[in-house]
Amino acid sequence: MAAPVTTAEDEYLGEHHVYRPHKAGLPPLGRYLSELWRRRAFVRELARAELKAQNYQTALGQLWLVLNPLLNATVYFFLVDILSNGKNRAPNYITHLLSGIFAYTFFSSGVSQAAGSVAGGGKLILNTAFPRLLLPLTQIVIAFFRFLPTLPVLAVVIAVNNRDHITWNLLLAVPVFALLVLFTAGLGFLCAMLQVYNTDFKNLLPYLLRLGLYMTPILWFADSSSGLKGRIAAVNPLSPIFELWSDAIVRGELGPPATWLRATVFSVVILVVGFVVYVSRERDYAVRI
Amino acid sequence: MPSVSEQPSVTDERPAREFVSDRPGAERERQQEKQRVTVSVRDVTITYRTALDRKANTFRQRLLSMGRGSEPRIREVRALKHVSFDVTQGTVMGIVGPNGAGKSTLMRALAGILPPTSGMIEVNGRVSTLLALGVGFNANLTGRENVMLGGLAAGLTRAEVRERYDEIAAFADLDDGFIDMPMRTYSSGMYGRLAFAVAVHMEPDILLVDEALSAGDATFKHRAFAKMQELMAQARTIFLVSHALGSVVDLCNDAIWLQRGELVARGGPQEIVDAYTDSLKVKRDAISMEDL
Repeated sequence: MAAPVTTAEDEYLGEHHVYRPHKAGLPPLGRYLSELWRRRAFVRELARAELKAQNYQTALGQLWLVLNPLLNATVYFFLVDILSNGKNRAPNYITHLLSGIFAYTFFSSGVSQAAGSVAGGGKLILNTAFPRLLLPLTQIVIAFFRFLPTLPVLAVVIAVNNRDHITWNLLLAVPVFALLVLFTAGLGFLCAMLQVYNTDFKNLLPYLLRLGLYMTPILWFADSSSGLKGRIAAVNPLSPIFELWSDAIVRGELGPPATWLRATVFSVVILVVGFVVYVSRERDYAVRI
Repeated sequence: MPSVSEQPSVTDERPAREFVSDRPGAERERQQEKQRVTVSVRDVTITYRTALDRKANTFRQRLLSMGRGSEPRIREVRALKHVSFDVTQGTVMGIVGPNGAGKSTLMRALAGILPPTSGMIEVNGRVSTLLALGVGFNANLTGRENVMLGGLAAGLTRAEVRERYDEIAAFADLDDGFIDMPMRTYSSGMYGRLAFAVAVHMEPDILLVDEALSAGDATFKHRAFAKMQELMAQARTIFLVSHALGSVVDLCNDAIWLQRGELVARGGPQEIVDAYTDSLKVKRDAISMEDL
């Protein structure tokens, strides 16, 4: 027998489960969250395993993670130039576009991977009982690791293109990105639940995500936009995060407090709604897939 | 209600002498707890709603049926019907029955994976599962990585898995080097052996084994039997689903027979297996279950 692991074993002996008919409802939150925290090593291991399968450790694999958004940004650069007849190109447009595309790539890959995580998690879900939130959470972690290789590229672009605006305010990008992580996770949970109940949601999602890109101030600047653009930025809950992101990275500015408030409120609300919707139904997933 | 024989399990007749404790007082504790009910199933019914049309769960279908005002065709399958039983600590419960009797559904319900549609299941202790599909191993990872992943999924810490790793690898006894190769290169027997090795080394209070012994060869089966007897001797509870009725008789000290979601009978393994095999020879519908 293995060496005794007494504390853990006592804990297990005390375990007591009662399974009753499932009604959509939240489990005891404290216990659920502490169980999530206890399984964090599982999230890390699962993320590591999937990243390995995606060739994350190889130089070529990392190169593609950078090339993909770079090529996307190039295409959009030409698209916007053509549509505007090559006029009105704002200063720092390239930095704005690149930083926006990089962050949006994190957002869209996080959401779409999280969306597929439950519907595609068949064996694991049918054979092991664990808090189901771990599956989409793992995908957010993976999306974050896939975002990391783009940071050095962003640093070079800022150093070359934006030398005048390098200030301590650049560090504001960190809390802005944290808000984006909350937003991404919340929306990812929501989409994961939707995909379990509607198997064709995965066909619709890429279009929604692309529409989201155009409706967020990434290809355009938020403040140069009166009229339709301004109205879109006002109603799009993702918009304030990207406005702050651009303010911090491109201009080295703090950004208006009202925008911070909107970004924080939207992120937290989306996270809470996504969490509640997902977790309150999670015991039903095994029956559905 | 199907008749459930009231006779007690034969647990108490089985000596727990070969158990070697690694914890002072553990032996006595386990002796005291021996009669504790570890699993209690109360009037459990589980119903699946399966869509006959594969596309029923889509936005497209919902929109179309809204337009036509028709509901997608759904069939309700009652996988378990009003099943009740209690299991005390140290029981090795064999579950027999034909395909589609609800055996795997019952196992998933005990593991807390499928919620009951009505009724209640109470489980005291840590559950480890070895169900029909394997343990959710990722075929692209090596055996070693899958052991870690499987252990973490089961709720162990990284250190606890590492501690058990050598034992697991020794138990699975894969040919040289296979443990560090991707699991897609494994034969189904090797796959099953590693899965079994992981499940039994989680030190569960309750072990659920669904048709997992069939994959291994004779040597491995022998070792698996020995391991399950060891777990039994430690007063852990085991549920064993098997079509190999011989192993149910050899390993179990209690058995239930499920048929079409109903608990037909409960009793000693030999008695249940005999009754079940008798029923297979004659026309199924013609049997009087009440006699058992």
